[in-house]
Amino acid sequence: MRSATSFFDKTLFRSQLKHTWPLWLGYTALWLFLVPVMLFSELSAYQGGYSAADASYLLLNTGVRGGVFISFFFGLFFAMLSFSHLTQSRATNGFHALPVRRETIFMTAYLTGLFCQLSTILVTFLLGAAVSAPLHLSFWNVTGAAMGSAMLEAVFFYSFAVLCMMMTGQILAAPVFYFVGNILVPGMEYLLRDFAGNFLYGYSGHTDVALGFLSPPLYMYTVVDIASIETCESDSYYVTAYALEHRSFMILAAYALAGLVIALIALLLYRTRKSEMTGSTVAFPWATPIFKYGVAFCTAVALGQFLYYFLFGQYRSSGSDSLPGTILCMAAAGLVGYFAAEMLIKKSFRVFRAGAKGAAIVAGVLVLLGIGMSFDLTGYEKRVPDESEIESVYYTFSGMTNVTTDDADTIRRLTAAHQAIVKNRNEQARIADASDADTLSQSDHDDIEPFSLRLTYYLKDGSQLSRSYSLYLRRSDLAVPSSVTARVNALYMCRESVLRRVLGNGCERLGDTPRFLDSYCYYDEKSNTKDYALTAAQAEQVYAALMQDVQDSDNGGSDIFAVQEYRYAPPISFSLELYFESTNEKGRPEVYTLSPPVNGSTPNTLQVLSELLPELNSNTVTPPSDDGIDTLPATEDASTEESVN
Amino acid sequence: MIEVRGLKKTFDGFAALDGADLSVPRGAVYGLVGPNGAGKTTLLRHLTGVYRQDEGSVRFDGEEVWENAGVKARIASIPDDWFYFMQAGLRDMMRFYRGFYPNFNLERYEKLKEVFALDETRPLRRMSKGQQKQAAFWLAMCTMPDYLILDEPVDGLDPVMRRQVWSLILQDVAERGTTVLVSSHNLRELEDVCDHVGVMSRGKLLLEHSLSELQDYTVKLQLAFEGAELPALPQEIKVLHHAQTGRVHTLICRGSAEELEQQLAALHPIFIDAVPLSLEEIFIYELGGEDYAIRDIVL
Repeated sequence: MRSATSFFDKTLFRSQLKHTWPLWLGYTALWLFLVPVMLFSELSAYQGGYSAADASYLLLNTGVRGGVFISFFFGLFFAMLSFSHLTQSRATNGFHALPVRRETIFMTAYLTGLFCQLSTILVTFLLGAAVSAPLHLSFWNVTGAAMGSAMLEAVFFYSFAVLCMMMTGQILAAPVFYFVGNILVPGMEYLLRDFAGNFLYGYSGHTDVALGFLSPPLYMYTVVDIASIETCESDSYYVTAYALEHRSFMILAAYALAGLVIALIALLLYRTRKSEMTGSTVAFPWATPIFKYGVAFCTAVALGQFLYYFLFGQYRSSGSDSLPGTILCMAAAGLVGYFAAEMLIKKSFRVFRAGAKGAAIVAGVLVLLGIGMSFDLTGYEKRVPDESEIESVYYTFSGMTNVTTDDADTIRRLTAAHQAIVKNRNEQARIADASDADTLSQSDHDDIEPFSLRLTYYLKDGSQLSRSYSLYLRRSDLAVPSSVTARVNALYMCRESVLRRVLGNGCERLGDTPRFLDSYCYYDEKSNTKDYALTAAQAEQVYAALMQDVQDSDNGGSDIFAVQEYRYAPPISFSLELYFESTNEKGRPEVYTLSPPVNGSTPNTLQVLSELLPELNSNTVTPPSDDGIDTLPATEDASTEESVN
Repeated sequence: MIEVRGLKKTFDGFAALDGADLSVPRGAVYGLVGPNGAGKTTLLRHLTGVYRQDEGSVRFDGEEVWENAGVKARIASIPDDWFYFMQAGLRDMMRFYRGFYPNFNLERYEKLKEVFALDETRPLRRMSKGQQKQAAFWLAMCTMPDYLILDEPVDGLDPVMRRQVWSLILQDVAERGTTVLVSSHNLRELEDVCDHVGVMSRGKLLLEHSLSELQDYTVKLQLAFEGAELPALPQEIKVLHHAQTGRVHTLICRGSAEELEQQLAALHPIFIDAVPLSLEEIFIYELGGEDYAIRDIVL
């Protein structure tokens, strides 16, 4: 008498294997071809010229990267075959009338599919190890890692496919669920971020995809890495082997673990799944509304935005997207998705009357979303935190100057600028549209400069608030204290901003009394870069000049427009690599690099460099003209040529 | 003993079973009859543990059948859509059954070869419907079941094979005390083999009795009076059906023939005669009260 709590049934296992063997055979043949046969063929073809590194790369690449593709497709095929009884009413009833518990049926079917895959991978890679034995590869670092990776991938993809089989009673719906499920979350995240980026003023992060790991095949393929191991012989480096990075293996292990959790969820679903749901697109009544509204929402977001672009966007040469137009298209697409889902669930085209209520909900929610966004009902666009809420801030101007600080004065300037930007939203949008349409008046054209600002507040409650703005600043507004231009300028010219802009990367390591070491100066002339060595004393001198430039800027010596002009159209520029010694987090001395850009916006530094240039020890070419750098801007090309030659 | 109490099952808002109660005594041959869509197959799928009830209980000798492998190992069922693997022959299915049913009797399997002349290696999908039914019987009988649940069991079998199959079943009932529950529309056949009958309609058991009780319980009376009109009948007589030919009235009434004859004698009929009812007639007249009567429609 079998145990009532047994999770495995030999008879069922044998019976499942009998039905799985054609697929198993194909799967095994594919792996055999890709690993031992391929290895043997390469070894034979190169007659001793085939190195251990080549073999290890073939094994690892096939196991890790090939495994993603093979497991992605075959995991689905095995799941469809192992649980095919759930898609035919006669088979479902037949299986469930047998004197075995549902858990036993599930586990036996699950293990059958897993056994077929894992046993094939095991045998294949052991054969691979045997074929590559003459090359003396490390078993655990190469064959074991490749085999383990392939197995972990197989566990994840197969388990996910099994979950998809649990969710449906139609064999053809399973692959659709599976493929969509593998890309749905990051795909929707991308589309939603894109949508928010188009219509939420100040929305930041429309280019980020934080949930990329929820698209396992893409994530595994791009993140999992095979590292080359190099050996130095006679001053030359040679790749002698390849190995799977530990982090990569751990990522795959995490996916496999997730796969086991998914399998457990699938088991719980199987226990509660009703036999009569065989043939239904969605096998659980509680999941039906999720499916319907989920399809409607996804279709609205994906197809709606495409529809808007197709109908209006592709012929528009300027101006921003219309929110009402997009919402209208999204509502139309949402309704298409909703009724399509209804048709799939009810297996009938006559769903319009019965589905009218749900359709009205879909359209209503989307219209409410549009209204909510238009009037900023959530307060997203207008939110500027109070200074008392802020712990520290991060901001960057046009991606060039990155500042992270908790300085109270800087925070005050940032919130003031942010408030001005929020208030000036409509005017900014108007200029943006006019700029896109090229209808700015000549006076506006001369007066306005584009600029971008990204900011993040780190609040005392542990949360963050990030915004990103494309700004149009008017020169004529510099003198108007409440204007966006004046407030952004005040932020741009504050000490923290100037310090980072003038000193560049590495300034946060300087401390109070940095000890400079021998350094370098690079002079950019057209496409040529000439490098000069600086003594420690000269580096000290340059640093002092840089600090003087910081001080001058802090005293209102320049403004945002002047600095930008020097930055983007520098008549002359230097790059510096100033090495200095400072203490690290552990209190030990360590050498850091300061990389300040030197151009017209740092006149004191330019002056010092011009004085130092004749004394520089050139390693490559003659330094620029003795006349001094100050003279270069007027006739930059000619004077540079002359000075160099 | 099979005990079903207050069984309810709803499909998409439609109540396929609406509080069904059923009792099948040990060793009985129970015929479950009812119109199409009455819920017979749904009830049988609950009895075999395929469906899980929304409400109520399904017990075999006091034990719930749902997810009870021990109870299910004592049940053999032959549904209308018997399952077999696409590539499987009878012998493959025998091995499959043998693995699941601990009492599977290989000796009986060999013996039954004489009864069911089927090619064991031929794929079942290539066999006729009748042959597949024979295969299902063959395997079911070999599991040595305590309970045999049959849905339209002899549908597709030729008359000889029908008798043969029933003979095997009844032999098991007599020798091993097997309890048989059979759903069928072939009422004449059920009348021959069943000792208990349940009539289902709209997800409920309308009535269930032993066949003899049922035949005593419903009576067909033929009677005639001086006039053509039927005089007012005593209120305690429940008439299921009334038909008239000339002065002869045919009444289908609830109650025993003896009592009804005594009550009607007070109306001074010219003659009165009680005629035994067939199961088919009981079925038709009982369901007539459920608005399921034969309608006189001229096309």
